[in-house]
Order: sequence, then C-alpha cells, then structure tokens
Amino acid sequence: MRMKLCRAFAVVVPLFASVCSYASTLEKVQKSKKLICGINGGLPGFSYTDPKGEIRGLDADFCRAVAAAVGVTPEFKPLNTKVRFTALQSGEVDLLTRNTTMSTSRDSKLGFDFPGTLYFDGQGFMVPKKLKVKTAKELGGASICVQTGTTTELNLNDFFARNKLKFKAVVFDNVEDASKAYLAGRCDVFTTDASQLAGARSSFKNPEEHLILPDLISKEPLSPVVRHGDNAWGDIVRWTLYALITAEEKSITKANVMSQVKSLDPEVQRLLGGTGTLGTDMGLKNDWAVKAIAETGNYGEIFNRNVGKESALKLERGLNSLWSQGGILYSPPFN
Amino acid sequence: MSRKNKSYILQCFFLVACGCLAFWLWSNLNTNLESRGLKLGYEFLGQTAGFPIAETPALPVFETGFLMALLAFVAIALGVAFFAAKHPAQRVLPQKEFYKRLALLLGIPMAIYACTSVISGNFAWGKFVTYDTSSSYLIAFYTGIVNTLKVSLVGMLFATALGFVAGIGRLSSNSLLSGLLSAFIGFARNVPLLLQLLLWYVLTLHAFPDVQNGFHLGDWLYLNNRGLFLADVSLGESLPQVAALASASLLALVVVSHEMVRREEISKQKNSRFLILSIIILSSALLAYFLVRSHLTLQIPEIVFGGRNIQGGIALTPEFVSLLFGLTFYTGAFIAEIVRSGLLAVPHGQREAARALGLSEIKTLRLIVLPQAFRIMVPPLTSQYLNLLKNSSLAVAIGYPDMVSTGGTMLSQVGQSVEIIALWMVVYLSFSLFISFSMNIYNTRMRLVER
Repeated sequence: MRMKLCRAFAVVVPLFASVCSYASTLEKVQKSKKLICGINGGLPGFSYTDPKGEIRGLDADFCRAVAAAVGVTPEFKPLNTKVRFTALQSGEVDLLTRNTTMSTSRDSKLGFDFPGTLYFDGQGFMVPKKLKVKTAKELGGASICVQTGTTTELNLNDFFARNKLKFKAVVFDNVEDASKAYLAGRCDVFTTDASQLAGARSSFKNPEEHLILPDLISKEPLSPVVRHGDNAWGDIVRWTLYALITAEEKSITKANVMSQVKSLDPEVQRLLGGTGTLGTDMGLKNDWAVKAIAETGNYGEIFNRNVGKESALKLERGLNSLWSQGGILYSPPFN
Repeated sequence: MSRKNKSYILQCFFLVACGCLAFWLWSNLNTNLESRGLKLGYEFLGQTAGFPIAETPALPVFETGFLMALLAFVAIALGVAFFAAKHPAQRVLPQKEFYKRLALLLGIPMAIYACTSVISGNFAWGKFVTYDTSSSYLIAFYTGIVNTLKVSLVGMLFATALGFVAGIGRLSSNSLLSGLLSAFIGFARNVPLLLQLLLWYVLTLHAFPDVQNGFHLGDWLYLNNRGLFLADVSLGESLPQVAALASASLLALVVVSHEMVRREEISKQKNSRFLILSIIILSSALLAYFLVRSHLTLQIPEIVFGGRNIQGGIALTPEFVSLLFGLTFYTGAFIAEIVRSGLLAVPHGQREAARALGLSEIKTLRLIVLPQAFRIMVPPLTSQYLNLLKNSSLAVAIGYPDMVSTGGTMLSQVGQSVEIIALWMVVYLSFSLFISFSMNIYNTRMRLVER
C-alpha cells in the first residue's frame, strides 16, 4: 500500500520519485518489462526519428542492445542538455545514452558512472568554404555559434585562451538553433563535436559549401551513463558494450550469431553462453549476448549503419576502430 | 462551537497539513540527494565559470555599507510615496507618524554613516566589474540578471509608448489607421511570443548584409548582420560621480518644479519656471563635464577576423534587438487594448463637456480623458509589465544571454539544479514583487478621492 501511494505521488512530483524506487535498476527494469533510455532525439547519426517514425542512431541502437540483453523492450525519452542529468539522478530514465561526454566532475560530483565509451569524439569547427580558413588558429576575432549546457562552451574558451586569441560566442539552447544561426550568417563559425558537425552538414542544402576544419580541440569520449552506486546495473551496461566490441573482433554478426553459438573458439562459447555462466553471474539469462547481437549486430555494424560508410554522415572509423586495426576499441577478455 | 472558532480550527488544520507536506517533500529531497551523493549548497558560486557570455555589461558591485545605505534610501523613498500622500484617503495606511519615526530610525544612522565615512576618507561606493571567462559563477549569473533587466526595462518603456499610441490610434475616426492598428493588435496578441521572437530574429539576420558589405559611417557607426556598432564614450572611473550627479539634479528638478507649480497655484502669478529649471540643468551639465573631462575615453568599434567581424564599442546585437522588438510588439498590443478599454470606460459626458468648454481634441484627451482613464488602466498595466519581465526568459531560444540562459549553462556545468532553479525563482519573484509594489503605490496615489 505504501508503495502504491508513494508511486502515485511520484507521478505528480517526479523529483521525488526515487524515494520509493526498487532495490536495483535491474530489478525495476525486469519487473516493468521495459528499459527507459534518455536520448538526444534530434541528432542525426546518434538518435533521431527517421522518416518512418523509428528512432535510429548509435545511441538508440546501444540502448536496444542493452534492452535485448536484459530481455525487455526499450523505450526512448528525448531529453535536452539541461534535464538529462536530473532525469537520470531521479530515476526517470534507467540509462542515459545521449552523446554525453565522460568527465571527472560528472563521474564524482554528479553521482554517475560511465561504464565505457561508445564513440570517441572531439570538438571541431565548421566554416563556410568561402572564408578560405584552413586551421582553427586562424579564427581569432570570429563570432562562433555554440550550444549551451555542454562541455563545448568550456573547450571553446580553453582553446582560444591557450592560443591567446579572442572570439565572440553566440550561445543557443540547442544544436539546431545554433546551426540555423550559422547558416543565416550570424556567426562565422559553428562549433560542436565533430560527429555532430558532420550530422548537421548532411542536413544542409549545400553541404559542399562548408568545411569542417581538421583541428579537434578536445577529447570527447561519448559514453552511456548510469547512476553511481548500482554496480550490478553498471556491469551489465559495460559488458554489453564489450560484448558488441568483442563480437566485431571475433566476426560475430547479426546474421551469423546463432550459428556462432557452436563456435570452436572457447571465448566465443563463453561470450554467447554455450559454456560457462557469464550471463547468469550478472543476473541475466546466459544467452544475453546472443540476444544483444541479434538485435543490433556487432559494434562495427552499428557504427557503419548509423554514422559510418552506409549512412549519410560517412564518418571514418578513426579512433573508433578495433585496437587491432589502429583504433582504441579494446575489450577485456570474456572469462 | 461557534462558526468563527470552527473556521479557525479548520484553517489551523490546513496550515499544519501544508507544513507537513512541505516538510515531507523537503526531507525526501534531502534523502534522495544524499543517496545520490549530492549536496545542496551555494559554494559553487565562488568557482571559476569559464564559459563565454556574448553580452557582458559593466556590473555595479556595491560595498556592503553603501548597499545598505542605498537600500535604506529606496525604502524611505518608497515609504514617502506610499504613506505621505497629500490627501488622507490616498494613503494606504493612515499613520503618518509611524512613517516619520521609521524614516528617522533608518535615516539618522544612515546619514551618520555616510558623513563619517566621507570625512574619514574611506567612503567607497563599490566598483564596476565586467564578466570574463575567469570570473566566478556568481558574476556570470549577475551578468544574466543585468541582461534580463536591460531588455525588460527598455521593453516596458517601448511597449508602453507603443501601447498608448496604438490604443489611442485605434479609436481614431480615420478608418485606415484604426483598421491597420486593429490588424496589428490582432496579430501580435494572438501569435505565440516564441514564434514572434523567431520571426524577428530571422528578419534581423536576413535584412542586413554581412560585415564586408555592411553600412558604415567612418569608424563611428557600423550596421550589418552582426548588429549595430557605435563608438562608445566611456566615462571611466567618473561614472559613479556622474550617475550621482545626474540623479541629484533630476531630484532637484522634480522637487523644484513641483514646488513652483504649487506656489503658482497659491499666488496665481506666473513665475520664471523655465529659467530656473534651465539653470539647474546647465549647471549640473557643466559640473559633470569638469568631473569627467580627465576620464573621458573613446572606444571605436574594431574590425577583426580579416574584415569579417566587428568587436568593441556599443553593440546592439541582433539577439537583443529581436528580443526587444518581440517583447515590445507583443506586450504593446496588450497594452493598446488596455488603453482602449480605459479610454472607452470614461463616461461620454466628460468628452462632451470638454468640447462644450471649447477644448481641442488633443486637450480633451490630455486634460480630461487620459487622467480618468489612467485610474482604470493601472492595475491591468501592472500585470502586463510582470508578463513582459517573465516572458524575457524566452531569450534563450534566440541566443540572448539572459538569466535563464547563463543559469542554464551553469546548471549543466555544476549540476546543482535545485539551487539554480531556486535562484531563478527568487530573482524573478523579487523583481515582480518590486514592480507590483511600485505600481500599487502609483495606483494608490491615482485613486479617486471621495469627499
């Protein structure tokens, strides 16, 4: 009865919802049969609604993979930069997959954990080609359109202070407004994470008139976020990510995952639950990884479909290649 | 049990219930934040902000003593206006004695403080601070507050002017004028403000050419899609003196002209009002010139980024201008309707009587109709001013760095959402209460005195 009353109240005042929260996120997710993910919702390549009304993107697919591993259905909740952290803190979402940069203060002070990095990004600049600017160091004195509420504003200031250059920032509430103002000529430069620049440019009328400068001025490891303290749930998210990476390494794909269960490679057997108890140790079914890979494919498939060569963004794998192919994706062993 | 007792008990019960609910919510909040390892507190305000803000006006930072004196002065001034009306019925509270004691209680220590600090030579009113990225979060938020005030105050002024012109014009017998105005009012009142702001922003951005092809008058004035840039005359350190002088002479003007009008009424003789007032103005202008002479500096807008951008001087950015236009037209349209209804509410006989006396159309309006209409207009006008202040928070949609915008950046950087939302609410609440308090004073003074 207390629980019922409490939950009824929580509907009215979401801020206080977690007073009556379950012991663990996993328990809550399994009981309600759905995984609520906080997403961006308006970012091509990461999470956006396609013409068919489906939510697509790297972040969205990772959420699908976790939901499949747990055996529930994913539910997406678009959040802006201002409410994303509060929504996770208060338990309104179970997992935040919203192109969020891992950083010290977010990890410690805000009470979060970052189970791993889904996309290694960096902040870049876009300029009209007609300005004939070649590097970011030539941007002294420029007006720059930027989105509020992100690490972007700080990086921008750090970069210009480091190079003893001046600039004028025009700050907007979201990326679309900032890119629109840039297109209207309000600013000389548009800055955000390089992947978002590519995404925005792919939606411009004349993408070829704009140049993304080669300089990346920051490290932006975009990572899923969970609440600090619920380590079992953090483990599930972390090892789902590693399972997707290992799957690419072992050439397990969406198409062949069922047949790979009987693979001769002992690690693949352990990963896919043919032998051992890796899944049940985490509180999941032993075929959790099979379910996840069957849902979304391995990391490489997710990347190519959403932001890579099969997508409109056409981003290079770069840092986001496997360690064996010159990137920094490196999964610990499954044993 | 008597009816009265019953209602007291019920009210007590309600109060206790509210208190319990508040306590429960508060303790929930604390438990929740604690379980997430979060702590409430405003320590973060002292940390370095580090993010850029587009418009950074000079912010007055007062010394504590001066601030106290200033607040006391404002309180006394408001008190005078509130309690010491000419006619007893115009006073909100009849105890003139109480006010006098209050003024003495506050005024004497204040005067002693001011005198001693001036004599001992350590009088300091404070200083001006301009935000840069090494400033603290407190200064960042303060910058946002000043930006909010800047656009709101100018907006109130413009909206009032526009509202009066449009409201009076709508009653005009010229059907073209009244038709156009009623179309404008219909549009401005019925399209959401956010859309109007976006419209103005897009218009200002596209209406002007870029910096290279923009309009300019020598080095002094530039007009292009980055805004309007003017050479800035900076008063430097003499600014507070000039500000003090300006307010002192303004006060003198008001008091003197008031007194002269009174004497004219008593003696029924014209005196040389114009001459004396111009002497006050001229002498204070002369004094001001001597004060600022050595501090005067000229800041000319400078072309940067290879001729593609401009910095410095007085800048009216497209964000400020479109927010101002949006707020002015939206609120102005509502004020126009208030003005129209106020004018129509004045009995028609008053106009006829004025005409019978041979007053012209303008004089009828100015002397007979408007003063009576004012009484009706003031309360709804107050709520329009409050709306304008609160609506300025839509600024963030078009990139104007108001309080909500800078606070939002702070919120996502330090994550102390409860504290920052509380700050927003406190600031909006106190400004709103100040506006309605001042308008209430005005309303009381305008009240019809029945004998």
